Amino acid sequence: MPERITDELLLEKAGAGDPAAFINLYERHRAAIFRFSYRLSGSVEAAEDITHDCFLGLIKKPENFRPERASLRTYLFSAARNLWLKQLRDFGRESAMDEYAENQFIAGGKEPLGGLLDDELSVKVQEAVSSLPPLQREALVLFEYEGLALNEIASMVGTDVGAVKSRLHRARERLRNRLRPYLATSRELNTSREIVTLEQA
Amino acid sequence: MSSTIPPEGPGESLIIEDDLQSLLERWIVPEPSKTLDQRVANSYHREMGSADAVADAAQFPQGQNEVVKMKFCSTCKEEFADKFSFCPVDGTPLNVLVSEPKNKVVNSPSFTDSVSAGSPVLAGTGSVALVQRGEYHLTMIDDAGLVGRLAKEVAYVAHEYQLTWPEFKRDPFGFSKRSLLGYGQMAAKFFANRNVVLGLIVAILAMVGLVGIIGLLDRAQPGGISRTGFITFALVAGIMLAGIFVTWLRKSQSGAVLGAPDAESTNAVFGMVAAFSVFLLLIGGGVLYNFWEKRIEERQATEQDVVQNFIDIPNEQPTPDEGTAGLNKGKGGGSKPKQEKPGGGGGGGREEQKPASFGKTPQASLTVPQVVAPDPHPPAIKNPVLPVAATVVADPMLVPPDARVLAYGDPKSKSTDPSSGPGTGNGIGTGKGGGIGPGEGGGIGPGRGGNIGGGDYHEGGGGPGGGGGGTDYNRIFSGKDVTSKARILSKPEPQYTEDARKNQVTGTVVLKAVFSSSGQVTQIRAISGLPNGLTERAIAAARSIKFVPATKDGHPVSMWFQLEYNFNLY
Repeated sequence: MPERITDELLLEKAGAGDPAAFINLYERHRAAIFRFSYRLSGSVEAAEDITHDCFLGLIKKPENFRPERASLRTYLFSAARNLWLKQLRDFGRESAMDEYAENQFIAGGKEPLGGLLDDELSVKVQEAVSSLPPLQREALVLFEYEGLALNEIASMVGTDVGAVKSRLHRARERLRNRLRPYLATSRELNTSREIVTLEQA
Repeated sequence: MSSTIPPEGPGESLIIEDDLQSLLERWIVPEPSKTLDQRVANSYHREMGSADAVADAAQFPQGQNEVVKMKFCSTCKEEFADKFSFCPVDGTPLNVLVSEPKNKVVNSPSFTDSVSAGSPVLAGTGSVALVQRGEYHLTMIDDAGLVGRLAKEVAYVAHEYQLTWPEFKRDPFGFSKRSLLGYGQMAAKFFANRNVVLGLIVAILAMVGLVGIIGLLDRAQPGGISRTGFITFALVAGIMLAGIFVTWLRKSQSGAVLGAPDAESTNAVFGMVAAFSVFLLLIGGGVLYNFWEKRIEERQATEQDVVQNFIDIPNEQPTPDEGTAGLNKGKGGGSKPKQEKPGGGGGGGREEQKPASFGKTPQASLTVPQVVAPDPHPPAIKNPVLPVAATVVADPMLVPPDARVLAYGDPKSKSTDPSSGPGTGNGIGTGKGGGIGPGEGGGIGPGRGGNIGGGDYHEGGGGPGGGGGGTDYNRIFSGKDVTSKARILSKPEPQYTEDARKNQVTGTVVLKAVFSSSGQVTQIRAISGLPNGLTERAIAAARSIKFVPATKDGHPVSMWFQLEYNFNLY
């Protein structure tokens, strides 16, 4: 039953002043919006600001969300994207490239070497993605990480599918060039892990 | 998660594509910080306009029996959060701690249900929100001017004084102790404030830096910091300080100084400005005092110099020789065309007890015989029908007419009491005859038979004069003008200074000095000097020279001397 209460209904209740409905709605989308914002902005603080403003905007002007056009999640993604672009405009460039150090020690319960390698890979991937031009970055994040369909992305960023495809292609080219040394490492790491798993088996 | 993109290359690229995707998946996203959920919830409540804090609090999960520390304001009877040191409403120091269980906060089952297990963040922060919501009070600061507020404060202090004076009289010791404790606590709390400490440290560090730089500059230049340099430095430092303050003021307008709230930021900035002003005043006062002291020292040194110069004039020296003859100044001896020394003199007196008094000489003439001798007393007959002027027998060239309104008398006398002197013959002085002075006859001065110049009567020639002459033994002579030069008895050698020895300074210091007739070395001037204090040492050595003064005509006189001191290192 809880999953069947639609986003629209929850939003309506939240708009009427039901905090529980709002919390429910927030809990449903918080992780995705934060993740998306973080991958766009590359900074926890900026991502938190975007997430906060996203949900605040939803409450302030619920009429902006039209269920017949897109899902609430897509709407929130667009809102987050707009906020991120606004931040870019306001500050000229993305901030906080120095936050990796405190953010990368997340992977718990791994063996030390694997953990270190994972952390380094995480940082390198983040750097590589952050170095992409904003339009390519958002296309990549929406497609690869958030799993949105091409036409959804196209309607969200206000362009056609072909343009999204070409942005994705160029983004991948760049990433491939930038991450070439790690592509091999990643393959080896996977292989060695498989061997370990096989041996354990 | 990832949908596929239409394949666009051979198999190799596909493998790489897979690798890239797996690589991209390694980007780990961190958890949002614990405050995000709270911020969103707070914003939601604010947006919904739910002012009732208790009703809001019901929406937040709260641990049961949680104890919240509260402080109580004795003036407005309200409680405030523990972090407040002063009442936000009326500024009373909050000292009393009240602990009470927050029973009114209840769990909200509906909310707990709605919160997923993966979000413990939201659950733990409710109490903070409650406290934060409860502590907000609007403080109205009246818009009175600075003077008005100061007057109010002074009136308040006066009132307090009136109130506390009886208590102080009743128990002075206890009252003092209590006051000290109270103010000590307040001061401790004030200085425990992070912003205050930071502001103070910044101000002190900045001032120490400034003073240090000035000191360094001062040390770098051996002659002390130049005025232009000092002014330039002060200007630059002032502009930098102003810049810092301006930036901080800007910051305070938009947010915070050192993370303080807006009002505190302004206070902190003003505090720093005040601290800087006080420091600058202190330093400026020091500099002014230094300058003043230097001026006084200089003045004293000048005075000493003047006194020294006075001392140089020996008192026992006789007054200069008046010359061979006459009261006139010049080289000649009388009216005759050829240069010739005059002779003769005169004297007189009316056998009075007192010495002859000072006065002018009457008209002098060698051709007109003396009818009336000069008399310092007023004439016995007022307005005579046939007035006859007093005269002396002397060369008018040597005794010029005296137009001063004076009684007749001896020009060399110091007595002012009118008297003709103990002499005889109706003149003035101690001699005999109708003249003036100790001689005999109608002339002036020692000698006989009239005229002036001493000895027997003789008419001189060559023009006016005869006066003056003699030698001024007070002036400073050069070596060739004196009869015998100053004889040095002991001449101490100057010592090397430590700096000069370190810097291997050698050479000669040439001084010019006056070996005064009183036996002192004065007016020492350095003609050529050496650095590192050697010139000063040479001057000190010169001052301690013992010598017998030079003489001229038997008189001890001052003379110029050149002194050379060789400084050698072996």
